[in-house]
Amino acid sequence: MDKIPELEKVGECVWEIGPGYKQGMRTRARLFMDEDLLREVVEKESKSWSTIEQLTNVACLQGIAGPAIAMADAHPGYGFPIGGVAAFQAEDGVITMGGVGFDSNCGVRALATSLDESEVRIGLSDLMDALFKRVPAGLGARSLQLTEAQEEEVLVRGARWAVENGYGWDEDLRRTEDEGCLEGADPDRVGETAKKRGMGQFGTLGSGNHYLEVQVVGRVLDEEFAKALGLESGRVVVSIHCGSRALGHQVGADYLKVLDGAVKRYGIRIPDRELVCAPFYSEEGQAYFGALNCAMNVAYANRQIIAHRVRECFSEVFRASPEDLGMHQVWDVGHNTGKLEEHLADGHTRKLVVHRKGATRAFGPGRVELPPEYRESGQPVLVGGSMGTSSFVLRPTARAMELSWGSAVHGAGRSMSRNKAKRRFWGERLVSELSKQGILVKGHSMSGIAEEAPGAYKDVARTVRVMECAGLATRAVELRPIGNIKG
Amino acid sequence: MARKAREKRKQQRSSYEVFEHPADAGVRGRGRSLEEALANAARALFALAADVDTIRPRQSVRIHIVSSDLAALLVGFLNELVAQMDLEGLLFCDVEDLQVRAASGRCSLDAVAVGEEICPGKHRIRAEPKAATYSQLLVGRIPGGRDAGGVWVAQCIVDI
Repeated sequence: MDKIPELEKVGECVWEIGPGYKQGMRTRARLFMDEDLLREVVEKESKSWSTIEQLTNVACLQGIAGPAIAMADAHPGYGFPIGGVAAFQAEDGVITMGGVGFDSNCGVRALATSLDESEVRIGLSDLMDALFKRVPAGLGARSLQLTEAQEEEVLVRGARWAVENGYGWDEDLRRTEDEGCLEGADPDRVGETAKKRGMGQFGTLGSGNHYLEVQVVGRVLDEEFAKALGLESGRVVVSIHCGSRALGHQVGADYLKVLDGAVKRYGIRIPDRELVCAPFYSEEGQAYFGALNCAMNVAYANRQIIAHRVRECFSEVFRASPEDLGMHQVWDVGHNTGKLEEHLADGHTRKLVVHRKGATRAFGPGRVELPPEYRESGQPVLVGGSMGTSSFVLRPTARAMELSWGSAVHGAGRSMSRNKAKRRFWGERLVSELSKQGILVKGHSMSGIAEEAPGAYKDVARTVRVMECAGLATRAVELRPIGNIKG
Repeated sequence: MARKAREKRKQQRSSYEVFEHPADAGVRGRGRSLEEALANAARALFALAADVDTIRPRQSVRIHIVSSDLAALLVGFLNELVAQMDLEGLLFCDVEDLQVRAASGRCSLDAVAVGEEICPGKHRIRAEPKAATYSQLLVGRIPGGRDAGGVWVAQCIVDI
């Protein structure tokens, strides 16, 4: 830690680096980490791949409100570190693609069931086969083919379109962030290439670290919250992790170029070209925001359609309706997002453009954005583990609103590059080892499975413990995997 | 003919690489000219997506990109390749006839990308590139190689 004299411990699992660390920093950088996680970041990362360098670059951006934040699972990305959070004053701050990423609104949806593990184990192999067949995944996967007019509807209405067209239940929308539809989506701001690329991909899982996982509720650490979520020890849950697919990627690529021009046009100084941005209320800023909202709506619709397919598969295998199987939605969160939110800053309620890149929204008790059943408790925070390890549901605190704009970790965070993981782990062997542990894995690419080996990730149990230590969120429910589909 | 093609690929392989990144992957192309380096960066992208030895050059797609500078030209070029692979349902294995024109603050690139329709059973698919980024972005000459002026390098990080 001596490498950074400006680094200071300001609370339990809360560290800050003062603005004196780097020329151009407008604010401090704040890291939510225990000492070991921090030591990895400070001492083991190189200067060219550095969470600290990327985080302190973010602290240089115009109009930043509060600190630039890194969560416990933070690691180097591009632009923002993955696990990075920053908010900008809407009136004079910026919006940056580097703070959202290409997979806009990549996130997690969880569905409960009334089935217990022993019931599902009997049909697990058939269930995994059905899910593998019915939820397209991997490179080149195609699903629903919509018309142009239908696609425009999805861009504007998100998951609402999906429910209105028979993919899911009305109640799903209430238990989705933003009710599955962001206002301010402007399809005219989405380019033709993005629309064409998105056309056949609604209802596909994607690849890389995306997955569909059948889990069992293990430890329940917060009975009251678990009850509100409809989760009971021993019952089966399904988690879906995916995003906006090629439409989102293309929106990101298109606006990388637009914002590159905006930086020159407005004379904005940025320490890293990947942090290209525009003033939020500028022409370019509003164009990107309009397109981004479309892409985020696509992700909500995508997860809605996949959830519907999951219900169909369970119904087919266990020969009961999804309603009779108790397949209610727990929640749907995004963790690559840029949203206009109201927060208390310096004693005033301000409109902030909150960027969460590999970080989950964690709105605590009392927020009006939450549905009635979660308004008193705070929203569930779905934190995905790596393949073969537990996932967690966290309960956020009011303190999260003060310290991190209501944000928490999104997962474990990578500790090893994909290339290194492929050299160290062998996909087929991993599948066999996990099978011996009672976890059935099906994947479209053995190389992809190797990249996602549990050994390539940090310990998710540690990153969620840091959330508790720092006072942002408490662990409520642990979910252990019994089946996993990888793209 | 197949042997010639294999030898050509083997030679090309020494001029491009997929390099380490904590979460994603980097693509790097080298060459005696800017065009060669850009073409090799594209080959690195193709190798990132799939084993190019399993892909035949059966179809071609014309690529045309304009940009304000060479670095952004590389990113635009790679992103156009990603887009075309997705739109056409192809995997590319090579790029041909690459030309760059630069004048008065504007650059353009023309090329032909070749490959065939994706066939998961036949092609060893490795990753789904999402997009090229401005991270670790470099297009320029660095010391090394046979020429006194150095060798051209084109590289960036690709989100996967």
